Amino acid sequence: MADCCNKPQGAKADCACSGDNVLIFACSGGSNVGQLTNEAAKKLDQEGLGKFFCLAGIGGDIETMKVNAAGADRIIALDGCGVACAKMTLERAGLPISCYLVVTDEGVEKGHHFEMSCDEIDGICGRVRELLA
Amino acid sequence: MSKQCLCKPARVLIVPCGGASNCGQGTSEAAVQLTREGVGEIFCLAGLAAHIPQMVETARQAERVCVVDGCSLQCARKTVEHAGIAVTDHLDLSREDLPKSRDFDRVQQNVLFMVKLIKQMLKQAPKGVDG
Repeated sequence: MADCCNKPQGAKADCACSGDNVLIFACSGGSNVGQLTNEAAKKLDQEGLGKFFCLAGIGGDIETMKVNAAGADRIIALDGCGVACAKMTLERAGLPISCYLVVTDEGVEKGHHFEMSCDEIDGICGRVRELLA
Repeated sequence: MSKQCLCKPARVLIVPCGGASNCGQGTSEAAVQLTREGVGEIFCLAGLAAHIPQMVETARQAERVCVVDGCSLQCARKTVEHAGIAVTDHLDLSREDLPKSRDFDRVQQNVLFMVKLIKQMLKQAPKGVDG
């Protein structure tokens, strides 16, 4: 895990355009790109862009979590690779995705390791912000 | 675009919930550490949540499927079972008196504890979900 990344200043923003009405889902899979989605989701949550939400709650068919997710204004989904597990999990639950990113499409090669750089995390966060703009 | 799943058959799969709390994130970090140590292989819970056939089949080949949940909702266990896979080992961290919060900067302190618990569990015979 990269632990060198810049921490957001001032913690969560109170701006009405950010916060709990935007949910962020990460595949958090067992590879560098999967774990990169997880790190990006945490960072975007800490920066106040939205609320990192448990994909496992949707996969586990937890009713209250599906209801909460269905009440979101926007859903951001981050997948590490083209297998698109997070996207398919949300689609199976009938949850519409308004912003979607695949890490391997952003030039990060998938490997069976867990190394990542701060630049890669920041790059994914930046791309999400661009896609939302 | 990489459409190749890298999850490979392994004797012991470690499936973390990876949820959005300190405990959920701790499960992921513990699974990564155990993979690095060769205790087992972290497996993409999302692949089972999405019911990706290749991944469900790979998971089915494991001797032990060790599921680690950060809280009492047990999302990971329910996801694995929903995909039709038997959970041989289950750790619910809500039973371990770890305070749950959304503070992602306070994850690491619990990871070593989780790793120890999982190693202890895997040294014993599988006890299933209620073990």
